[in-house]
Amino acid sequence: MTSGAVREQTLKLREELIAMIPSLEIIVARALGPGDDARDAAQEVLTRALAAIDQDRPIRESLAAFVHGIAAHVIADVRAARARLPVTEVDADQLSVEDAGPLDRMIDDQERGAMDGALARLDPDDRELLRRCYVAGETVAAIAADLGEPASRVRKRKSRALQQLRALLGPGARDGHILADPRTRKT
Amino acid sequence: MNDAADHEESDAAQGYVAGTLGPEETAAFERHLLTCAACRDEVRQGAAISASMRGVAERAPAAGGERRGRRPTVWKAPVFAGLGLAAAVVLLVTSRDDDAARLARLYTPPPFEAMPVRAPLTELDVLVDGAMAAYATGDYGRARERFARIPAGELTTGARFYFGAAALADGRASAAREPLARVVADSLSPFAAPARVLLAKALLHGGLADSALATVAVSRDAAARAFADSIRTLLRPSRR
Repeated sequence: MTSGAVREQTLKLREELIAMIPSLEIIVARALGPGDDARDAAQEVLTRALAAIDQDRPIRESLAAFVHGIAAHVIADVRAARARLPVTEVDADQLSVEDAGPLDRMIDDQERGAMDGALARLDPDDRELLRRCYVAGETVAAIAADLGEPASRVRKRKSRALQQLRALLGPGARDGHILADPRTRKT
Repeated sequence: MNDAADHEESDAAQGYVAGTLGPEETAAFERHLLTCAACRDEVRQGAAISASMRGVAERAPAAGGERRGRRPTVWKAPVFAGLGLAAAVVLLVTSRDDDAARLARLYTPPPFEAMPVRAPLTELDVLVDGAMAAYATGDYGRARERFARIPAGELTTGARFYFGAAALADGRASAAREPLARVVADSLSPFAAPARVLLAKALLHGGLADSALATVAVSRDAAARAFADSIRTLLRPSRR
C-alpha cells in the first residue's frame, strides 16, 4: 500500500472511530453506571484506539469489534479496581437499584419528566406495548403470540408508537436524540 | 445483524435496554451498536421509556450521588481560577526555604476547572479531554502520558501549560521544559507568566539555576519576580 493510501485509510478509520463515540458512551455507562468512571473509561478506550490507528497497528477484525474489545478490557479494569475498594468508598450510584433497567440512570429528571408527559398522551395499548418491549424485555414475537396478532403488525405498532413519542417530545427528538446530549445540553 | 432485513426483525435493542440479553448477545449487539445510528437512537429512546415507566432518574449530586463530584463531559480550554493561589503557595514555600530541591518542587499544581462547551467533539478534543480528565483528578502521570501522545503542533497554549504542569508534578522536569518554553514564548497568552515560574522550576530540577533566574527575572509578574528573588538568594556565594 502506498503512503498516500495508508494515510487515507488512517483518516477513514479515525472518522469511523469518532462516529462511534455516542454509542461507546452508552456502552460504558451501561456497564459502569453513569459518572466519572464511565467518562474516563470512554476516554481511555478512544485514546487507545486512536493510538492503534495512528501507529498503523493491524486491526484484523472490524474497527467496531476492535473498539469493543478495548472497551471490554477497560471496563473489566475499572470493575476490578472497584472490587478492591472498601464498600464504603464505592460510589453509591454503582450499587444497583433493584428495580432499575441497566440504562435508566443515564436519564435525568428533566428527560424523564418529558418522557412521562409524552407517554401519558400515548394510546394505553401502545404504552403497554412499549412497556413490554423496553421494561419487560419481551420479544415482539412473544408479545404477538400472546396477543394473537401477526408479529409484523405488532412491530408496526411499536414503530408507530416510537415515532409518535418523538413527535410529542418536539423537534429536539426528531433525530432520535430523546436524551439530550450532555455536551450540548443547556444549563 | 448485518443486513437491513435482519436489522428490521431484530429485538436486540429492546432486550439491551431491558437487560434481558445474554452476555454473548449483548456483546454482539454492542459491536453492532457502535456503527448503527438507528439502534443507538432506539436504545436512547428505550432507556428514557424504561426510566419513565420504572420511575428511575439520575440522582442529583446533592442527593448523595457521586463521591467525587460531577464533571462536565467536555473541556475545551483551561481556566485560570486558582492560579493566584498557586502563586501564593510558591511565595510561601520559597520564603521559608531556599534549598534548590525544594525551590524546584511543584508543591501545588495549577488547579484546573472544567468548563462545559456546546461544540462538536473533535478528535483533538477527545485526546485533550482525556489528558485533562486525568489532570483534574490529580493523576499527573497519566495526564502527561496522554498529552505526550498528541502531536505538539496541535496543542493550544493552554494545553501546553497543563502538559508542562503535569510533567513537573509527575517529577519529569525535563519533559516539562519544552511545552512550558513554548507557552512562555507566547508572551501575549495569560498562561505565559505562570508558565515562567513553572519553567524556572523545571530548569532548577536540572541544576540550571542561572537559566531559571533568567526565565523569571524578566517578568513583571509579582509571583515570577518573587521567585527570581528566591533563586538569587540560592545563588549567593555565601549560601552555596
